[in-house]
Amino acid sequence: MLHSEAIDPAGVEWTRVDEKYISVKLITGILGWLVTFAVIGVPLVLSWTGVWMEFPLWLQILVITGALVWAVADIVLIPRRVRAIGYHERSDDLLIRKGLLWQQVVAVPYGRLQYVDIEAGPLMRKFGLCTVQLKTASAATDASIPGAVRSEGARLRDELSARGQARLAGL
Amino acid sequence: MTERSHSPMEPGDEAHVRSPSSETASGHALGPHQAAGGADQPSTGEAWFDESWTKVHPLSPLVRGWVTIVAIPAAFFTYNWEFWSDLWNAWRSGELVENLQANPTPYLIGGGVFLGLAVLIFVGFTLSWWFTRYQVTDEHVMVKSGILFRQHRQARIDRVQAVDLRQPLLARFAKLAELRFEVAEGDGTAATLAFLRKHEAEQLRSDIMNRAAGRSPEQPHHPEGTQQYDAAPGTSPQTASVSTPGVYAGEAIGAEASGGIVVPAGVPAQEDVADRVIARVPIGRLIGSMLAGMVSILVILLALALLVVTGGIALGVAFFTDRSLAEAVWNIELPFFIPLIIGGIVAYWGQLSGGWNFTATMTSAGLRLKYGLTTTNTQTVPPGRVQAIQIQQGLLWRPFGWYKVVVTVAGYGLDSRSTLLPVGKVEDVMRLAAEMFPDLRIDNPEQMFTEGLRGRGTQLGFSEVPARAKAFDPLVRRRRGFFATPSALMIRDGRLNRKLIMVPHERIQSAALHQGPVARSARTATLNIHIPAGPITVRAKNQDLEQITGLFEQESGYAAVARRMTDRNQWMMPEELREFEKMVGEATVREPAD
Repeated sequence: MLHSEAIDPAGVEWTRVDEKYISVKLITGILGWLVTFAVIGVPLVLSWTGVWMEFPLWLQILVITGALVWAVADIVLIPRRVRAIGYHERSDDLLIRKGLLWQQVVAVPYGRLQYVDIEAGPLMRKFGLCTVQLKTASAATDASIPGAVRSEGARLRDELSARGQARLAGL
Repeated sequence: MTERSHSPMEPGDEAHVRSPSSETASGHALGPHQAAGGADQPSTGEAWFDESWTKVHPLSPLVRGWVTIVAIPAAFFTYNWEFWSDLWNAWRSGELVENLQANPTPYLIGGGVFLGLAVLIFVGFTLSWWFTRYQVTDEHVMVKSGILFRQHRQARIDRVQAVDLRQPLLARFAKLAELRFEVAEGDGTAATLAFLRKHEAEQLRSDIMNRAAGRSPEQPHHPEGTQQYDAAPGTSPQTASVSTPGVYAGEAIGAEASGGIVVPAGVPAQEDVADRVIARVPIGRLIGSMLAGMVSILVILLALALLVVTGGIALGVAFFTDRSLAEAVWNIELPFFIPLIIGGIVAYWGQLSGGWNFTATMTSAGLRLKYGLTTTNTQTVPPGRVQAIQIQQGLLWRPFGWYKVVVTVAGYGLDSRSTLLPVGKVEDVMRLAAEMFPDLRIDNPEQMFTEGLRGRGTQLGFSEVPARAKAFDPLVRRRRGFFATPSALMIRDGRLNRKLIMVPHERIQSAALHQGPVARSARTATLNIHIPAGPITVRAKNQDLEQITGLFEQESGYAAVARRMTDRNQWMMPEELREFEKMVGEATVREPAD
């Protein structure tokens, strides 16, 4: 279980998302960084092959080292970041927390739910996961639970919709 | 709210008492084409619409498309005006007639094309008029339009957030008006009726607003206030019922079925009776506010920056080349200043036309705003639809004591229509807030209000950014804070540009706490309150951790209560108001405000 952070409401036991979501995030994270390196590596390749030598070498090294440090930190932090995602169903609202350094706790009252979406891309489907997205009348509500097991996602959707129906309020 | 003098509800009126969230239309009071539940499906099958649908005014396509009609010939004539002047000269000299007799073909073709175009436009307009129909039932406003690509829009009346009446320039001459319905569920304007005769539009609007408010239109409004506005000129029910047979015939059936919801024929429209003018914007103040406003500051700053930059360049050019200084200035500075001038004019024009003759009147259906220079806008905002209110004051407005009031109404978005008062004195603002906002339920609302607008520090209960987090907000530290009354959350911010935001607790959609690493070490956090999209961002930044988590808990607690009470779709219904007060009372007992 997650230990409680400063902004977490008292007495909340967070439910964590599935551990497999770490793998998904690792794969997408590494792929994303590979693409980034492919792009910033273009000048290096060009100067190696002798096509374009103008770009100073020290700048290239600086950029690539910086990106490398960032990438490693990013990827190393992924497991902790995923473990920092949690949700908790209270009697009247759903709490979702996110973030390691920049933390966020959002409370979405069931009665405010306009609809509950379940999304799953190909990779997520492969791991049997999904993202539960909550929508209220406010576009600012950024409430999603990424990486829930699909059965749990379906349960959440039904449960939340049912509670939302029972306590439906307008704007 | 101004008027709560309701006559007892008719027993057959349950259509208005039913829970607004129940999705199925009970199907009473509708014609045969609208049997139970079928209201949502566009009637596929033999007819796209039948007799019960009403056509808009025949002049509508013209009023809407006059620009095309004027622009095409104008472009045509200006593009080859030499040809036309030649033609004119030829006709005057008699040469044309000779030519025509000698070789008529090109002239016939030209005339034919011209005639064909005219006929095409006429047919297009007629068809678009013919295929645009609307119907107003007890539950919905439905509009169908489109010749090839047909569109069916419908707005649930009990979800109508606001009804606006617009009169563009040409419509004003033709005494026509456009009705726009904002619905909470849709994005943007949900349904537009363009155009109706002005008095019809006004009648329909008050009708629909009454229903949206949960009041049956037949209930007489007791004339208690003085009549500040001329009532709808020449509202004669005869013409109305003749020219809009669909609406009134459809309702007549409903009247029999449900025990008289509809205005009985012969009873004149009683809108505009209990109106009270809340605020007016004198033209002098409007212009003054523009001169001292943000646009002026921006224009002046940009102009200064441009002057320094381009002036330097011009000086350099004049110094190093043999051009004169005046020439250099003319050639270099002007191209930069023209966009600035145009931008300034556009911005000023927007403010001027948005605030021209601005009058806010409290009517039985809500706050009616009337304004506009070329296009006259009349919009009605029911108090129950206001999600949040923001009172702001720019630096240069301070000596004059001017404030601007902006609200979030679902459906308005970032539109300029969300301005409730472009510029007003503090008394206007107080009156407006008292009408449009629920009671703050504190002993000293005016004092708190003023404190929120101008005050600093924690004397009256407002919070502030703690001193240990001074580095975050060196300037606004003592202004940035919140205060929760039993009914609403007040957030104040800004040292130079002051603002005060108020959100009723029951309007909050969701809440989120944010904390970054530095804030964590300073034991502060930021609370974001989510409300529907609009000009207002509700955020209490960098507040003391304990206070803000307390507020977070409190707000989610209020939201929990708020959603259990009847939602105030029909915000004027007395039992809803009672229920609402009761629920808020319980919430207050359960979680007393600090």
